[in-house]
Amino acid sequence: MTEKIKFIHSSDFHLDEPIRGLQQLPEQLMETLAEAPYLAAESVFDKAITEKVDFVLLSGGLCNLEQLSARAVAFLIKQFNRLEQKDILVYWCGAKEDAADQWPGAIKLPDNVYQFHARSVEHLDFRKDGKWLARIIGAGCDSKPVAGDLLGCVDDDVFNVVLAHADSEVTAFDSDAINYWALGGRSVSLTEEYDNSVIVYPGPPQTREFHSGAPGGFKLVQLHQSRKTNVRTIRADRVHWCSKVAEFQDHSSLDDAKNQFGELALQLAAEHSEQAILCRWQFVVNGPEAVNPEYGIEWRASLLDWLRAEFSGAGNGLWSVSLEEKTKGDLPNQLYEEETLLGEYLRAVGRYQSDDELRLNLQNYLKDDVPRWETDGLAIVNEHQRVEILSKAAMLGMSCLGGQAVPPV
Amino acid sequence: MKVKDFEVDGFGVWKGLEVEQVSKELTVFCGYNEAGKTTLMQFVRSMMFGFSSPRLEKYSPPVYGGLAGGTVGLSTSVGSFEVQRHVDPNHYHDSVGDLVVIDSHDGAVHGPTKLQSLLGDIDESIFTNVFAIGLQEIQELGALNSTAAADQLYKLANGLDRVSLVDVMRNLSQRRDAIWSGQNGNRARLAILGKERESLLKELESLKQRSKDYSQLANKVVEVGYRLEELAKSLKENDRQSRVLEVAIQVSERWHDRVSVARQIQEFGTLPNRDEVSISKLDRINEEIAHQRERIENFREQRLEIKKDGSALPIKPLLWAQKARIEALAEHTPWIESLQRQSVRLEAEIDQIENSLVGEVDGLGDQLKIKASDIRGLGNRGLASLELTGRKLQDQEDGIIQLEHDFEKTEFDLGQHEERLGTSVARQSTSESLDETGKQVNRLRRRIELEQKIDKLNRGRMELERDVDSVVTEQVLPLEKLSIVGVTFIVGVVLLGFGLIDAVSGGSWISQTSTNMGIVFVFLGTIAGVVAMGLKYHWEGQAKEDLEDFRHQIQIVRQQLKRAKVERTEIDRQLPEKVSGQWELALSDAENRLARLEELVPLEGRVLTARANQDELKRRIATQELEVEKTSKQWKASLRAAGLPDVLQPYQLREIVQRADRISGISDRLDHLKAEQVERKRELDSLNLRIDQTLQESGVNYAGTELIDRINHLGLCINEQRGLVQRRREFTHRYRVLKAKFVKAKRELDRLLGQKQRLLSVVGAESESQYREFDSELMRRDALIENRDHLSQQIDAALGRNHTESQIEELHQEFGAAGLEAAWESVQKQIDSARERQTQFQQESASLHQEIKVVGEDKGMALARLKLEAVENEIIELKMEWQVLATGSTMLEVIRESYESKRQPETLKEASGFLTKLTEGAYTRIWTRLIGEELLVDSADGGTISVDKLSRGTREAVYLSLRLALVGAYARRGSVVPMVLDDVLVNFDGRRIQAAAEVLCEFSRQGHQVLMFTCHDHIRDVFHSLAADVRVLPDHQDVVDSKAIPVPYKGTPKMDEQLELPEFKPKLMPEDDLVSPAAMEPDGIPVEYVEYASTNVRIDPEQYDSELEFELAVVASDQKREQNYLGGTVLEGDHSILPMELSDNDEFWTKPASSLD
Repeated sequence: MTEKIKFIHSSDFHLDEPIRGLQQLPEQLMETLAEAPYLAAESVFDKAITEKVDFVLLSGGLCNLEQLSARAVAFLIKQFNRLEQKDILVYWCGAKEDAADQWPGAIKLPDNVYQFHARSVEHLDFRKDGKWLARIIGAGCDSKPVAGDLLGCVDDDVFNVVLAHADSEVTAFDSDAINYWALGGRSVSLTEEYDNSVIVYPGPPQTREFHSGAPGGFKLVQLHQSRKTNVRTIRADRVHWCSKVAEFQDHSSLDDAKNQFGELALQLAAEHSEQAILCRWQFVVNGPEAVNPEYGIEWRASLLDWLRAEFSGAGNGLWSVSLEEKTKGDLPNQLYEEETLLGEYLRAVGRYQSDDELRLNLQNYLKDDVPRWETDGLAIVNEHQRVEILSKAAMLGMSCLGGQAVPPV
Repeated sequence: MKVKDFEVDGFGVWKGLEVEQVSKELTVFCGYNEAGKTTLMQFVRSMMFGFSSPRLEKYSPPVYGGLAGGTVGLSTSVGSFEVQRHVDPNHYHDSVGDLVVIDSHDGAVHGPTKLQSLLGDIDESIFTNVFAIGLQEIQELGALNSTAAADQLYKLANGLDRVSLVDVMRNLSQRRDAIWSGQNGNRARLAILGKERESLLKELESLKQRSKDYSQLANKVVEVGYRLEELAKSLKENDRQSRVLEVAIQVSERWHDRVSVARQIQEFGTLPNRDEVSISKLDRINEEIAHQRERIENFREQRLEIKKDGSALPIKPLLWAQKARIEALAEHTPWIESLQRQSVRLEAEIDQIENSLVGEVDGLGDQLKIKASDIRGLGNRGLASLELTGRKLQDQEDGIIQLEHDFEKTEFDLGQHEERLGTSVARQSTSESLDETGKQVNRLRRRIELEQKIDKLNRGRMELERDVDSVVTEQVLPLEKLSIVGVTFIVGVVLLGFGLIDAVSGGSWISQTSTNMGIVFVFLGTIAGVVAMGLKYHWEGQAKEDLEDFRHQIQIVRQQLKRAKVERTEIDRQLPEKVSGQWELALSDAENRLARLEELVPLEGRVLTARANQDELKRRIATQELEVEKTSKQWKASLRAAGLPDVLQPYQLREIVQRADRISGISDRLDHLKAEQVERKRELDSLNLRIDQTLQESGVNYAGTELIDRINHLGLCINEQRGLVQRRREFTHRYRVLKAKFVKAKRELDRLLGQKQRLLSVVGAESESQYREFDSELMRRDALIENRDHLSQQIDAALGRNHTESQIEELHQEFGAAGLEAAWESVQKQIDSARERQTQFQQESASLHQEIKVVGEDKGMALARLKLEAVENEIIELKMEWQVLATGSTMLEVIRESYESKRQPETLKEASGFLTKLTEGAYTRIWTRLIGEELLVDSADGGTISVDKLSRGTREAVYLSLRLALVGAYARRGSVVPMVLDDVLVNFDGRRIQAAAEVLCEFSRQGHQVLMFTCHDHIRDVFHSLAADVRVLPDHQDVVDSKAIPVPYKGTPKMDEQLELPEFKPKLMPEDDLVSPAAMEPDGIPVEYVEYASTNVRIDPEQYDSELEFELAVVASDQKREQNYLGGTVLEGDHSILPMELSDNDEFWTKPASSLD
């Protein structure tokens, strides 16, 4: 069963978007984190060359040409030139931010790159050794294609590929005539296989934030003589996001926690020796208490600092993004019934939690001498924030009025 | 803890003062001013809490010598103790001093810890503000400064829980504030992040601008590439043009010669083709024409002779025509004889008519000798053809006359032109001398141009040699460039040195703050060195290239100079020797001569034209004469054919035509008569008539009258005519043969003439001489063409394959021969300029590519975006934290309101009780908000008044109530310490003093020891009346001298003598005295007010004025409120209220009042 066509499908490089979700940047990982989108994207083109693919499909979202990033443009030109030297074609159907008409006119794309127009449905035929093998149908981001537009381009004798940076409006066309839907625009990979058709969102080569640990990558697709399509996911991310949970016994000491987290960190560094790791730590305390004030802010800060100091140099670098206690659920009712300040406090919070009509106005706490940019939008708490803020306020009350010393500022 | 007794070993003015058996309840110490009351109170403080520096400074060493210190006997719940404390002479400034606490029970000696435990949680600050208070301290509580006592007050006031609500609220507030404004001198994290974000946004903006520059750079690269391409094309074109110009300069002379030859060829105008002009052919035709003409002449002569012979035969055509009739008549002779008789009658009439006919013919004159019968033979038709021939002859003769007239006129014009043209010799040499003169002019002009060109080339060569010298000099760099290179290199070396030294010294040598300066210096130094070397090599290379360029140019100039000199020598050889050196003069002379010759050329043309016209007229006259001759012959032949004499002139023929008409009429009449005669005489007459008619018609003149004779005669005539006719037929046959030959010869002649005419007409020659002129001109033109072709071959050889004559032609048309050099130099300049620009563009292109590469590989934006993302995340997190804190505060506010309204604190309740007693029920409640640090008082009528708005006395009553309540609160917590009051009732009126004394006594009886100091007798007396332990302080001198001690006051109070005390009414501050909030606007604050606030007001105790103090207190209160508005910008320091800082022992009390300002 020899392969007929081999190509790579990738999208959403977002070269000019940084890694998100970090608050403090480790100096030693700074360059790795900044370069990760470029390195991941470069591995797509490296793979195309080493696998000697026939062509590369790019489903948009490569960079934001509206806010022209010189490096992104220079990077793409360099990679396209590499493919051109190997006679590998590139079919590129851009999103709104990297549509063909956004490309700077002064910079000429290599001849092996074909950019599909943003406002129309076009198709190109791929020939190999003079034999017509596939038809690439490009649906531009503003083309608003209907079924007829795409199906009108289909030829049943060849392998039909729809290339688009699109949403469900495009994929809604349920037709076996399209053999491969090369789509883009999702932050995580998604593949749906049917009898004669496969819908693929490759996701970005480098994930920008924590998505349940989903890795970034691209697709290596092989079409065999039997018309069977084999889609392989190739990992490309240089920064690996993960989350680890440790379980403590009640009244565990700081050293116990360090030992447990340390083992997990070493295990992570070994598993991902080629990548930098961004880890969100969580811990669960086995015991009757719903809240364990002894693992408070200082304790967590101390442990987090230790993790960062100890393992930021492990492997290619392991950075601890956060350390939080995994709560077991709501606070016990008895706390709400106490005739104490804490009880009063929790009851007040409860009233706000149960009654959305009670406005949470923080305007009185704003000072006039604080710059506007710092206070904009602070006083008015929207519904989305309200739940989280009230929940955190309840925990704050627990820590301040629960009998422990008031934490220092 | 209570004071049992104390002994002052030395403290201020006191030495050796002993106070024994101090009451456990209330003890009043009386003493006038300067008696040492405050000193004694400070002594108690010192014994409790040590010698603070101010106290040590004021009260030590004691006035009367010795060590400061003393002993205090204490009674506590755990036993009695004796506290001995003295200033440690070895550690004079040690506040603790030499402290010994001796247990009275077992004599155990303890240290400061024991004393601390005895005091409980009371520190000096609390003691000073709650337990040992004077007028100064009592107001401090009112100001609610940050002393621990005031804090405690509020903590106590708000009750106790796991934690303090106030603490938590303050904590949250501080944490919120810390987010915005930092803490403990550190900048707030949010502010730092804000700065970082601002900085990163600026950096990103800058990087985005660079990215925009990237697009512009790419545009520039395209533009520069386009320009380079254009320049390359331009250079290629200029090179081509330069080569063409060089070739044009090389072939310039030949080109000029060829142009001259071409012009001469062109001057020939339009000439027939060489193939069409053949003189030999013309000559052959002429020979044949002459031969044919000779033959024609022979034939004509023979024909004339035959014609003459034929004409000489007496053949009568009429008679011959009647041959058949005559032979028939002869056969009818008998019939004729019968008819003769009939004809006799009619003959007479016929004779008559014939006579008239003869008369008409005779009218024509003898000259014509025309018979009547001839006249009758002429028809209208024959006369008309004769008339046409005559008219044609007449016209041709008129044409000859006209041509002869034109010929004479042409001859006259020719004579005129020849006269103007001068002699025939001069005419002959006009065209030749014109050519020669033209060539001489050209040679002279070229000679002058060459002279100028040689001079110019010589100058150019000298300039180039000078340039070469200067470039050779520049190869050793000039001073200014050498200076630039040197200075740059030295700067580089110095920077490099600094950088290396800094790097070696660990980055601290140059800058204490930046460790990267050394690296920057090394980098800058290296760059400067590289730039210096680069400049040196660049300038030297440039000088070398310039030198090579100049040498190449000199070589070219020398070659051009050599060519010019060779050409000059050639021209000198062609020019006459006499003009040597006087080229301009000779050129002017030759040009004048040429101009004159050119003026004669048109006149010669007119002469030639006149001659041609003359020849043409001659030819036409000859032709016309031939035509006249031919027509004349035709005329005569026609006349002869018509039987008319050939001498007849056309005008005469017209007269004959007119008479012939009349003759015809007469003949008709005769015929009519004859017919009538035949009719009348029937057969005879008709026969006779027939014979007569036959005779007449046959033209035979026979004199006989008889018919038979006439018939016979006719027979004889017929026989004779038959012989003549036979002869004539022989002549006719010969004539016809000759005529055929004549016609053939004539046709041949016509053919030849036509051939000749065609030969001439083909070339457009109007005459044979013109034809021959064409031939000679063609020969001369062919010679010139051959010369031109020779020059063209030379030019083609010089042009080679790469250039065409059209290019050279265009250049000559554009620049002229003289302008080629200038054009070549101009093109060379353009080439140099284009190469220079090409170099600039190439450098610019390389620079742009490098810049694009740098911008394209700049990782700064990714790094900045990552940092910005992190900063913004942290900002969002901080803001969320603030919102959580603010929400927590909101919840605590809810609790606070509940506590304020429902859970009034115990301490304030107790204080309210004291206040009610002190004010005799005028004020019923003291309370405070949890947040806000403001004491409020409820009056009996339900109003709530802020403490700072109360009168001084009432306010002090409030503060005293709070002190008493606080002492009680401390006591309930186990902290029992004696209360020391220093004249705190001086501002009370008599009734309130009474009330206060009662309260204090009652309070002391509840277990709180009170030590009261006063200098006022009425106060002393009030306490005395209440059976308090009142002691009079001795004079300190007496204490030293005689060990005097305070003695109990024995005086009896005279209650009856007391003035009736007025009813107490709360004295509120007048509203007008209060500063309205509007007036507290920063702009509205009086200057004096501000200055006054910033001055430490000191009051002379001797001039103490309670009203003044009240006003000052109001001012201080207002300042505090104003501070709230202005954010503390007016007042400095703590919440110091001026009167509260006054102490009767402070040194400023003793200063004169003038120092207040």
